[in-house]
Amino acid sequence: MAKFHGDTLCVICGTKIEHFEWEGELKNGRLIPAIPCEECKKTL
Amino acid sequence: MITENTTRDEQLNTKLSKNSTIKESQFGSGYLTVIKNAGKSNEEVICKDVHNVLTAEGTAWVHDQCYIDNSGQTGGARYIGLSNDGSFTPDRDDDRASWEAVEENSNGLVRANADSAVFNAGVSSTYIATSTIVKTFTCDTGAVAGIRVSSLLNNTRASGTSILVHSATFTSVDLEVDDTLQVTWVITLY
Ligand SMILES: [Zn+2]
Repeated sequence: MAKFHGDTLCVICGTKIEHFEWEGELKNGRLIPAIPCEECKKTL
Repeated sequence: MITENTTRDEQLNTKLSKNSTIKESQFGSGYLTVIKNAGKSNEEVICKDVHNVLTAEGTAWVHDQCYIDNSGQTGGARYIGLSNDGSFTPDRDDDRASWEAVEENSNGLVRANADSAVFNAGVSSTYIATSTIVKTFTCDTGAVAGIRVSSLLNNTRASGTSILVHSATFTSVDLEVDDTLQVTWVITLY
């Protein structure tokens, strides 16, 4: 399975998420996952 | 490791698809996809997987950073710029000076560090490894007509020291205030 790593912006507040990893292709052919930062995760 | 969250996937609602046009014989290449108003009801794909020009100064910089002496490291080539110059056709001899002469420098379209930059190691059947570099611009002060070029550089315009690495043209697109332009560069090296 393909392995990925990189940085992106929090899908909720826009804060930069410095390093994240995942494995496997995303759904819908998307190239970058939509993820929340640690702070936003607490509010979900 | 992150497990994909279906609910938030649906919220994002983008329609990028895989880089089906990348062929195994292509090496060290960039592919550009541009989407106006991604995820909105008036979404428009302006171009998909357009093959780039890799400049001479960009090639030298990549070799130097990766294989030779790694001098003056400023960061990755993950700064995305735009131009609406009608005559600019990128070629191997273009460089920072020729790019900055035609580059957008206002209206929310100033060259910027990517929102997202992701490395994909590929799978063992092909080993096609890619870096995906994405920036979404929002046209914010005045309308801009005829955006038709994007480039990847290794620093901001304000730095005055960047290297022009990749550049590609596409069908021109007009932006009104509040329109967005999602620019995705996929670089292959394998
Ligand atoms: Zn957040």
